[in-house]
Amino acid sequence: MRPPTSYETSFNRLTEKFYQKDRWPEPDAVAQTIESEPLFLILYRELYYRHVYAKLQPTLEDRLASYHNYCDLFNYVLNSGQPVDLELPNQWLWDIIDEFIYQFQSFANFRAKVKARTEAEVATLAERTDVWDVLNVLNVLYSLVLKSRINEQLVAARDGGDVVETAGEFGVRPLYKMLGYFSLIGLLRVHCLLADYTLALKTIENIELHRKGLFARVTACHVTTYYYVGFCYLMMRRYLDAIRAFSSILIFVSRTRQYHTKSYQFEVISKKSDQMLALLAMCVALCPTRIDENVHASMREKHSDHISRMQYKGEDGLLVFEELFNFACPKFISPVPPNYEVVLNVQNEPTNHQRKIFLAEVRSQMMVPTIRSYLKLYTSLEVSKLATFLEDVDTEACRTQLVLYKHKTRQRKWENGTVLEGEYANTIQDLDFFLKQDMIHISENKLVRKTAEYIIRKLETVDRLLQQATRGGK
Amino acid sequence: MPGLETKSGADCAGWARPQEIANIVETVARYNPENIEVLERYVTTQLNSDTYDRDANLALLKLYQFNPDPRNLEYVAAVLAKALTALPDPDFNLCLALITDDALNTHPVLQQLWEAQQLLERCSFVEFWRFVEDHAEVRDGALDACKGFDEHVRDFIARTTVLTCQTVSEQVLMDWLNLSAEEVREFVADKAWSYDEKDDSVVVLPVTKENAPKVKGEQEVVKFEQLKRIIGHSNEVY
Repeated sequence: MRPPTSYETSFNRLTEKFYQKDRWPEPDAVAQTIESEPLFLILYRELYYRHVYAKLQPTLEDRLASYHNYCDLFNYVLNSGQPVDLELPNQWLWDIIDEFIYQFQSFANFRAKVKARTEAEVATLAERTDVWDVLNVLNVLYSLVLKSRINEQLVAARDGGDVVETAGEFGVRPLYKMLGYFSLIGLLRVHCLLADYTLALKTIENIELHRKGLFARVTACHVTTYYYVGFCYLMMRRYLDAIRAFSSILIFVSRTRQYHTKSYQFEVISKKSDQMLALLAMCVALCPTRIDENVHASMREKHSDHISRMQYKGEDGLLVFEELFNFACPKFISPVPPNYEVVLNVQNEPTNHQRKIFLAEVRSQMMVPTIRSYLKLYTSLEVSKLATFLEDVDTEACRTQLVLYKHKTRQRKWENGTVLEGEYANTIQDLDFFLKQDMIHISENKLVRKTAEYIIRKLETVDRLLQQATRGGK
Repeated sequence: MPGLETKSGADCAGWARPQEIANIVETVARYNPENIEVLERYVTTQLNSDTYDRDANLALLKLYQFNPDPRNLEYVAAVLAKALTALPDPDFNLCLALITDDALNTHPVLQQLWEAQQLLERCSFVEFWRFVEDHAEVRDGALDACKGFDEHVRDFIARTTVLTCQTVSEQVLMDWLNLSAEEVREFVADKAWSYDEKDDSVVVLPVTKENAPKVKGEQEVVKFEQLKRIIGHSNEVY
């Protein structure tokens, strides 16, 4: 049974036309018309609540009911002896997992706004701790991963094993396979929201990011994957890897722009892209690297002001990092309910904590760009002389700054293997130095701009145009 | 070179994660609060035997994150101290991310461990040693329980020094490593470093690709194949 393709187009068109500000017909009312189709009702409710979340303000009752509907849906898929006879488009399956996690995140946020909650709401929240509980959410995702044997399938595909045999009765079905795969990406996201960056990347260790994988079948999934992978790298102080993740997806999005401007996911994709440009700007400020020309151009277009202000010394520069982090980070959540007796809004605390850690890291390496700019001017220089260029820095503190420069510019960088692996590498290619007691010896690598390739490409374009023009003329 | 091997635990050469721990850390059993005690005992083992298992310790912090209990402070501090021994890897920040701001603000030991980490991350080695000396709480409450802690910090300092310097004065080394003249001599011998033949107040460090960067002149090469199309078409144009 393959549902009509109305999912991506008609539903959204009807929403635009009739349900901009109103709810779709109540599921109960629909149930009276279509009684014998329990599965249809579950899928209808899923869309119904998703619409409420997207366009209206969901009440606590909505949140509970939607949670129960997800339970029904996943019970239906997971707790049957046989694989269920259902197929849904990949896009739809992705949206289900994506929305499930979004509503979990939204609920954590909702209950943490203690000030905004009524007494009745607090009573319900305190009583129904099972609803949107973190372990229940994780349980769904892990169960889908296990049921589909997606990890085993990915390993078999990588090592040249028999994927169909490995997949088993359930995993061989597209429904299970894709739900399992999207759950891996979902876990990446949930672990990241809970600030467990290592576990987040560990979860997707069987997905080969440098090859085009299943994630590329749904653009929103593709973008989500790279956003969270890049963010985890950023927090693990692996800026080169973060830059690689952000650039590669931003190139992809800009190349395929014409296809998704019409998609209902266009807004989500452009918002994530904007956030990634901001994250990229921070990575490049912390670790100056040449990136793709087009991506660089869009980054400058959006953040030219931020980019120059990030170079400011001290607190002024930090303020820019703070602003960009706030704009671009995921909204972190606390896995446990707040203390409802303390009437305070605590929904931002998890994010504030992550920002504090990130800014402390940035603060520790604020001097690196300044030192780099001075070293560029010399081939050798006394430590004490460099100290006179820097404000409030004596010779010993300056020596410390030089050691710090080396420490911070050596980071793990992915070469091959799983996403978590990486060897220490130098992040600043064009300039290096060493100390002989009190003398700094500097070596600069002049990176020659590769012009020939550029000119050849342009010549070929001209050639092609010329041919087209002549052919057209005849 | 010390510190360069992967320190994620299980793949550490010559040391394997016990099966009992692997069954927790590598499966969904990592969410079962009943395993808190097992992982706590494992932290104690690490403290006493000078071993380190990042992922198991993160799994413990995650269990605390899901099951907050003020009694776990002692182990949180131990895990943070252990993470400092993993420098230059940023394990400390990864652990910190799983602790709440609240815990940090209410427990001075955790706050002080963070300050100590900041000093090491900023390579302010002299200030680091002074800080831990001045703050008995952090010494007694966390660092002293961690076998080989000072040696690990000195290894990190030595590693970063070798990244930066070809030669360094003995005095600077003494200050950075917090060692007396005699001790530093032993340290230099242990590391198989040497003293300058002409001036024995100068320590000569091994030459590596980090402290002897080579200038790479990059030149662009154009292969004939790349020009094939252009040359081929130039015939047709005229």
